Amino acid sequence: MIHTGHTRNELSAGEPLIRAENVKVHFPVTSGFLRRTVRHIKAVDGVTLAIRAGETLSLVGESGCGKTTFGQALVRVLEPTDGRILYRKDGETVDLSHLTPIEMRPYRADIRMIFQDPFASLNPRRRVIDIIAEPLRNFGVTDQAEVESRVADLMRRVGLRPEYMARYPYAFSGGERQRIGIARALSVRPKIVVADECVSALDVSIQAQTLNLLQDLQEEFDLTYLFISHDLGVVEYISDRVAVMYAGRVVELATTDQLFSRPRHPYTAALLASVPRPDPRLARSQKRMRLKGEVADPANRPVGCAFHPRCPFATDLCRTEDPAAKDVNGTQVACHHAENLDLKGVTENAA
Amino acid sequence: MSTTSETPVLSVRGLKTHFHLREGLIKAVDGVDLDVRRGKTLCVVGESGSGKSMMARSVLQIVTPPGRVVDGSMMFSRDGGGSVDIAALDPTGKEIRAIRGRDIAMIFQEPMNSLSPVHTVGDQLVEKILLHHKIGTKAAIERTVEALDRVGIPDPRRRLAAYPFELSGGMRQRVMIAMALACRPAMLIADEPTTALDVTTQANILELMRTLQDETGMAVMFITHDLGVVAEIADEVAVMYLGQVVERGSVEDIFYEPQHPYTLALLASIPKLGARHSTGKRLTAIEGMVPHPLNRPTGCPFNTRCPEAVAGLCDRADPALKELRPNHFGACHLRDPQHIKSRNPVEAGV
Repeated sequence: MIHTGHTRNELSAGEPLIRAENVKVHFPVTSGFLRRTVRHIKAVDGVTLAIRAGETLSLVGESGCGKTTFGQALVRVLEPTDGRILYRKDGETVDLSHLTPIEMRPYRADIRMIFQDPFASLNPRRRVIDIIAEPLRNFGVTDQAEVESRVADLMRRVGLRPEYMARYPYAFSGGERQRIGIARALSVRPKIVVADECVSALDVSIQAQTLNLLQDLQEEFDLTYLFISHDLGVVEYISDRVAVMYAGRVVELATTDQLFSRPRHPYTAALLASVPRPDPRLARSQKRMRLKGEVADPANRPVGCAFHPRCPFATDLCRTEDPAAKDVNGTQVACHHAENLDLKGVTENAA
Repeated sequence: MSTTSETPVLSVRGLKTHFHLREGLIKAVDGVDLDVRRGKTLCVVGESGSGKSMMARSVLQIVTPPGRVVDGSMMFSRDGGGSVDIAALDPTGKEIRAIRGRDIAMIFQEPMNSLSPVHTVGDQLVEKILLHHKIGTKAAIERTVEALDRVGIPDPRRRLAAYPFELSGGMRQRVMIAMALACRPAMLIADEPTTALDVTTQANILELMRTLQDETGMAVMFITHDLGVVAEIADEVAVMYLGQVVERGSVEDIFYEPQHPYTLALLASIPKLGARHSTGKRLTAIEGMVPHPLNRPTGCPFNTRCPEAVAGLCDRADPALKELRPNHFGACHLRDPQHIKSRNPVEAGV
């Protein structure tokens, strides 16, 4: 890794804590009286990703690319159709992909999730203490005094006042609710936190507070994040490595610096070029790459490279043959022409 | 405004929109001054609760009761001369209904919610054109096809029969824009039109809006919370906080010479591409949160979160919007030229 202030990462770098191998999540589409399966929506179609202990791996892509579905498969809210999810615990490796709910229980506390919408993800009829304590109670902390002291401690750590634990969610603002969601995820001391668009619904000033908080908590609790987002500014700020998804597959995986300064996949380059930059002179000075057309339909994946209908560099090879992921100067990229393309990143010309 | 000779398409002065609730008075918009010029884009930025959407809705008099425009003027000037004060019009009257949609059009954030799900795209567009123009149905259909074509919808004639659910988010927003521009309005109000879209689609829609503006010369008021979008499309920027404009100026002034502490803080809190945490930088968050509208701080609205606030000054008097430099306005005691002048001798004495 090209580094950073995080010594913690260097210690544990390279050791995957959880590894997804060729994970597929297909949803059947039924039709007619007999509800026969006519086709499948291939939301996640063969994702291989290793998340290292202590790192923040971000998953980016347009809506419909399968990033949320992959996150849900990883926390086993969904059962993958195919593939393996290898989780390393106490020196042993377990395949989580097809465990039954009962078999899954010992691992549930280790992998938690933070949701996007702080208004929809908290039950409005329950008090904050009950919301945060639910996972605690589920995992065996039943003594009321202990629950209260742990909830108070968690609330303090995420920057909420413990006096408010008896209130209901409506009494809190969006940013505070997101902190409640974070406290709930952290209550059972997880190892891995899947944060699905967890700052997208927040105002910029609150977003900055929340991102800083996530970083502090990562250091304090030794967390590993899978950070799912469509906001590349946020992603660049928080991640160690970034995986770009398109039509259910990872098309590029690299360290943050490398991905933003030297993208290898045309889709990554197009995404980077589309990000509005808060710098009027820069924004107007350059003619940038624009993507035409729509995101590939996961029910009807284009033949060959899924990105070819929108790709300005597509050749006949791209239209017929599906590119496999390969290594180009340390970047994992699934593009036939990755070596030969000179794509523009964003960081080299940034102030 | 001193330097520009042309009359603005819309000139808002001292606009106040208040909600009389049982719990108290909510001043959603509390004394806003703005100008929107022909062929130019004014971006209104602010966090949620800053009153930017309410301000935009006030311009069309579509504030939902108990909200009401209670004070101020909104002079709207048509191309062929003649101007009306929208603030003085009856929100349900004939005059404002003629302005809405024809002279001033509006597009909203969520295109799925602003299109009728049970009517085809063609029906909705034709209806609007027929409402404002005395032409036949056939001619209206032709204009609809032309409008859809202009916003880059492929095969527009076939799309007339499509229902909104058959279109993607980007396409729906294009339909909204086509509908808004079908009557060639003098001004377009766009309330977070790209917030619900992917970045790639957003880039295309912003480009489309710019091209259409160049073609038609319409004035645009663009409401957004995304400073990146502002940098891309704004000519002028107004920063709103708690119902007031705290800073207003050209896009270059706001981004390169920001004056108000709130603008400074907003700019510092966005994660900029290239300013990574690996360089050791943390995001500068604005402490606290936007105060509850029923519980407005006295004095400067930002004083409770402002790092520079001076006790006894900022929490007492509400600063007025003053011209700090030509065409660059700010509402801050500490930036007020008079204040600086009056303070200096004191400081010299200390």
